[in-house]
Amino acid sequence: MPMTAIHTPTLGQIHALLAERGFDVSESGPDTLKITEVHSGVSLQAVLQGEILFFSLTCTVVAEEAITPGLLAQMLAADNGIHTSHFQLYDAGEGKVAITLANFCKLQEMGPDDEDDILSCVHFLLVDVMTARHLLGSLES
Amino acid sequence: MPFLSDIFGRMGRVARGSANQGVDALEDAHFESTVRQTVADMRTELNKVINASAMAMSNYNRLDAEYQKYLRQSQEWKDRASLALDAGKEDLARQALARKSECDQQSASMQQGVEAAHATSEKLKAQVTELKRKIDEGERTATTLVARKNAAEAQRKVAEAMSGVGSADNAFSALKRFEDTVSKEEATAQAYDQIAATGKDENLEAQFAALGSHSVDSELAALKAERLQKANPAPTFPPKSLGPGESIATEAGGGKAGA
Repeated sequence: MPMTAIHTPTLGQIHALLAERGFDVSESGPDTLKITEVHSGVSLQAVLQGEILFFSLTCTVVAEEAITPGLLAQMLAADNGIHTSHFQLYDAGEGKVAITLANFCKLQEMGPDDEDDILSCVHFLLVDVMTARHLLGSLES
Repeated sequence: MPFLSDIFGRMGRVARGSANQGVDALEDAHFESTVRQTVADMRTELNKVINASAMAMSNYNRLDAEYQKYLRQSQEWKDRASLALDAGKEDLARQALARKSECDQQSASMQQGVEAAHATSEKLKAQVTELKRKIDEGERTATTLVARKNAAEAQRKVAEAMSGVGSADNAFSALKRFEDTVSKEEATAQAYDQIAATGKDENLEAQFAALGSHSVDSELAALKAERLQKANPAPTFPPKSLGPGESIATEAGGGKAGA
């Protein structure tokens, strides 16, 4: 397969797709979407970089000390119930850490397969965050 | 192909997010186009090798055809010499063998060239195969590297956004607020149910029931009066002449002010 130029998906196409499916979507940056599930208010962000659409959902923000080895073991355990996304930790500043769930898809020309990938990624995160909440219940104050 | 391994090696390090002083900013900024250009260069090289291979094969085919021709002719002259001997014509056989010798000399002189052409052709065909394999591998590597680089870049942007994220701006908080809202709504609904169940005033209910029956009695009386009126219609009078300033509306006491 030759590496010919393809029609790179645009943020507007993804915005329109998700808005059409009932999400509250706003463009929080030139290549970033904020996607909110309107009933629960849970929001996530999507960053489009080339053909890569990277999704990230902030579960919670905790003090660094809360990230114990036991907690990390739970987050990394293969049988922790989170199968369609993965945990990532980000420095949130001021001694705090953002625990996020992330996944991504590689888009092609925004055909039906790409649309399915995008919606699946969003749904996976919204499902996984429920499991994550149960898993990390001790962090909720 | 050392330049390939070199450039992919350097880009691999970029994709892994490691700072590589050897990769300048321009190359980093045009990472994808650089990778694609590398593969395009490989394709250009492939085309050159394919052309060279085609020419070598063509050269070999031409030489081999000529070589085979001399071999055939040599065999033919040998056969003719045998025929001449069978016919008892030794001079003719001698001439035929002389021609065979010429053909043998020609084929002998060509043999080395033909073998060399064959070797060159085979070598170039092998190069084409190997280059195609490397291009396939290069394209896969390039696609993967570009995807990894883009994913790393997207992740960096997420990290930047995270640096200012508020403690309440997260999914668990949103879910907690959602649950609280649902709980409040459920509590409110439950309260209304309780009010409806325990706040019934029997006296009030009885009064409304009486009002309801009173209303039916009134309607019954009105219906009876209407029927009676139809049975005994009232006498008609000529219309009263209206005085100055009087109107039918005024007469009827109508008007919307204050409504």
